[in-house]
Amino acid sequence: MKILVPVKRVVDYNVKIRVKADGTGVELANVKMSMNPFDEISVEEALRLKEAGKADEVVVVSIGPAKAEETLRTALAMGADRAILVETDDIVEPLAVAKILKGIADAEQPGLIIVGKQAIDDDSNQTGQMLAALLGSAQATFASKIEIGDGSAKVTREVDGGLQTIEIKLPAVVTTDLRLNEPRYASLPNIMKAKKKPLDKKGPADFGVSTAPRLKVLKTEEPGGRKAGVKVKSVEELVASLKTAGVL
Amino acid sequence: MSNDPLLQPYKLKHLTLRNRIIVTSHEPAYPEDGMPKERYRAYTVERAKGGVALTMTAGSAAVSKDSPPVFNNLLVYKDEIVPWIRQMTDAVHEEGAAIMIQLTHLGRRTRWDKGDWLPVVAPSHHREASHRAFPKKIEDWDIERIIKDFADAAERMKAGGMDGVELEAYGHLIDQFNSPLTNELDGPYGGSLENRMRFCLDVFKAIRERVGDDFILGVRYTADERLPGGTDKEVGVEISKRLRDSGLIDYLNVIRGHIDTDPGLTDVIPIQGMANSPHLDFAGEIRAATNFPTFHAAKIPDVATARHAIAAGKVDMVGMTRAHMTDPHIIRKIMEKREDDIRPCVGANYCLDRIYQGGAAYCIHNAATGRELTMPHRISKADVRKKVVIVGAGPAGLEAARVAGERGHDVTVFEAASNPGGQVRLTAQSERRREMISIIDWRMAQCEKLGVKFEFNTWAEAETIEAENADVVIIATGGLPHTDVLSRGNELVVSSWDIISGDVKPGTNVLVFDDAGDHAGLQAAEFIAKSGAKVEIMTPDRSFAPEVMAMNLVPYMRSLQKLDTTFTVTYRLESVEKRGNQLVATVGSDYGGVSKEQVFDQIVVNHGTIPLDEIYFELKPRSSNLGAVSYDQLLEGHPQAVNRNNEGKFQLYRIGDAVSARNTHAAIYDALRLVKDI
Repeated sequence: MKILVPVKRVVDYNVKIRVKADGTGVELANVKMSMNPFDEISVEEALRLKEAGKADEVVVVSIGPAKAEETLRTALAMGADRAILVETDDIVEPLAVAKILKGIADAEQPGLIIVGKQAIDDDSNQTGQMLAALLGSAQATFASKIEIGDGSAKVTREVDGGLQTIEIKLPAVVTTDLRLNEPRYASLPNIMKAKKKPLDKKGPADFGVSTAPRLKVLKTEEPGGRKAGVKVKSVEELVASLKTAGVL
Repeated sequence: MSNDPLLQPYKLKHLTLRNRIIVTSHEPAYPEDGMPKERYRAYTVERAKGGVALTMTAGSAAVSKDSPPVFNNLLVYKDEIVPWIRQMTDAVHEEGAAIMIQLTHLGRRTRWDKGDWLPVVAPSHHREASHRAFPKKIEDWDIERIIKDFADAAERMKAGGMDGVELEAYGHLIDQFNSPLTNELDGPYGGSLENRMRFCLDVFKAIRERVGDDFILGVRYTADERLPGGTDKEVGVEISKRLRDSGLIDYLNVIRGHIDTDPGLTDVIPIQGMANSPHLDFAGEIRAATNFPTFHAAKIPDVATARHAIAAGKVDMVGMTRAHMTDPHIIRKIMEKREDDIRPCVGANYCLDRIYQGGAAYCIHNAATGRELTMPHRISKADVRKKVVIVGAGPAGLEAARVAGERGHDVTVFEAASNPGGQVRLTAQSERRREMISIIDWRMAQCEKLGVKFEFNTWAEAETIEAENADVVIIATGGLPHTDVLSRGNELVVSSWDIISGDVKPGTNVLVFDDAGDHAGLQAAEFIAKSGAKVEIMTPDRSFAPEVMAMNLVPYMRSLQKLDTTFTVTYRLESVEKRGNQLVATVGSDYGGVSKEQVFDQIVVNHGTIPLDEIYFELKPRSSNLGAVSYDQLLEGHPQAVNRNNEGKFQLYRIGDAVSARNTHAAIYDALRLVKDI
């Protein structure tokens, strides 16, 4: 079985996000970029399935600027077998991403597509679901455990009330949640090996997909700062203040 | 006036201490001829400049000729020390700090083949495991002589301008009297607690008579030896009360534990991976039981814990001693509300372990500590802003980037991995070494403030670097594991890195051949042993893991011995061949005459790194200095002026393991020493 894993290049989770002066988006100049953490979890899960003998190839794909090649090299250094870069400088919305991924899935015929549940930059949480709809395949979202059976998979999902286990038919789309695994460390020797692994370059047009935006960003603003608190002298005063504030 | 508990002054008898943080006594082994000369003074004064309230110099300054230092301590039995002490105390007082010194007689905790080859004395014949000397059982005339030596030494210290002296009473002679485990004397100094403590109190009496009231006297003592039959907590509290009630001393400096073995010492002064502030609550109990000024230090590396120690009333003065080796300016940064800029102590304990092994204490990631005469703690701005390009974001590259940033240069760093850290990030994969990553995190935070640019996930090629049009290019690319050490079968072995990084799963019956003797070998062995595999660690050396050093070895041993690891010294892995699904190792010995076969299913080789230097050699012919460094200019602190190629467009340097396999401190020192003059 082949596993396809899309990975997105996003602002590193450690970076303090700054909004551009004109409010059109966040500052990306001279900011550390990394693989979306949920996608790292997806790559890790695919590699573990391969190591367990459940899969024989892990293909990673990224849609984004030329620099997204770095993100793919990281996935290759972790252990993915080959990579596909769909190069575009546009901001690609989830629907267009899903359409491109469908094109890739049609060509590659993976038995399983593991997608991060969301990217930490736009927090859309749409791509996996849209992709499953376009492919007409089963989907299991927010996975915290994946067990591959014969032509099917048992997936434990993180839902509001706790955990839900479902069985889905393969091929399927699974989106990953935080507790699925802890991604591995990409060692220097593997980073060197990754330089020589195959990386295919395509464009959105190769899949007949237009990346023209359908959404319009009106404004981007930083959260308001924390307002100064009030010091109270006694428990009574605290309770009274909390009541006034409507908390109690 | 700040309301920070740490910044409140404290009145100790007649002495006003300006805040609540002290550097407790410790011996960095910087004396020259047993005297605190320029280097010692510069080190001590730097901490006073940084704002510390009280700095205690000299762990275990020797009061007697039959207490010869085992590494390099101050010889306070010599009159000639007084002017040296005077210069140091004047300089410290000038900076507004108080200064004291710790005096001791080591008793059995030394060797008879040091100094004047006098016999070692103790109140019993029991040998101390760490220093190995079989002591002479102390006699009446020894006791009289040593009491007088203490008083003479205290008088010298007062004449030298010290604010007070502290006596060492854990593991040294005074404690050897106090503890029933090491005191087998009859008569006035042996037997009951009162008798055993008589020596300690006689010493204090003699000192007090000599120095008068306007001089601080304190004791750093164990109030719980944590040894069967030794001083337990109940007796410890009684000792504390008797010390207080003697009326001879002004404060208690609490220790818990014993130091006669490496593991004992490491529990008293815990290292990275061990719990923080493990004895702070105990010190608080002593303070509560005695209601007497109480000091304490033991792995309190961060300001928050120190603040808690004071705010919660655990202690009156909190010791941050190793933390001050990493950053001598902790107090200044607290006062300037720049706590985030404090360089964090990572508990690597390079300072302490290196005293024994290397003869002087250095901080693993502050190369200026102990080198104050030549290396700056504060980097000054350069006159000319240059473009500096650095390849590699390991400890060497990041220190170079930080220092170049402080100099005001335009700095860009290229890194192949998606995260900074290099081998430090690798070593931090082990739970017990996780604190090491602060070496990287602190530098990244500093670099961000300084506007250093980073290009991660970028395998820099010579062309990329050249296109940057830099004035200075620094190659800090580190190395790759070197495993080609066998006459046959090199392709059958894996490296320690393969195991630590998780790239290769552990086998079930594994040989770790480790002749590098550093952390990576033991980390790999521990990783494998924890998976349930049988592990044999083999080295051709006389002892294993020599570069890990005594205290750092303790947690590994506690883990590996339980996992039934075998330690084999003086044998060398010569070759490996595959037989079926097994690996057959041919094992010989440097002593000769041995050749035997052993069967494993995995063989790990730990033999350091080999430099990753292709880019350096590609760039070398295009540089103005052709890679050459003037060692004279480097060591004298002058800018590099080597020109061997008029066509060259940039200066090219190589630092850290990209030159040869060394360690984190060497990498950081390489960077600081070079870049401070760029």
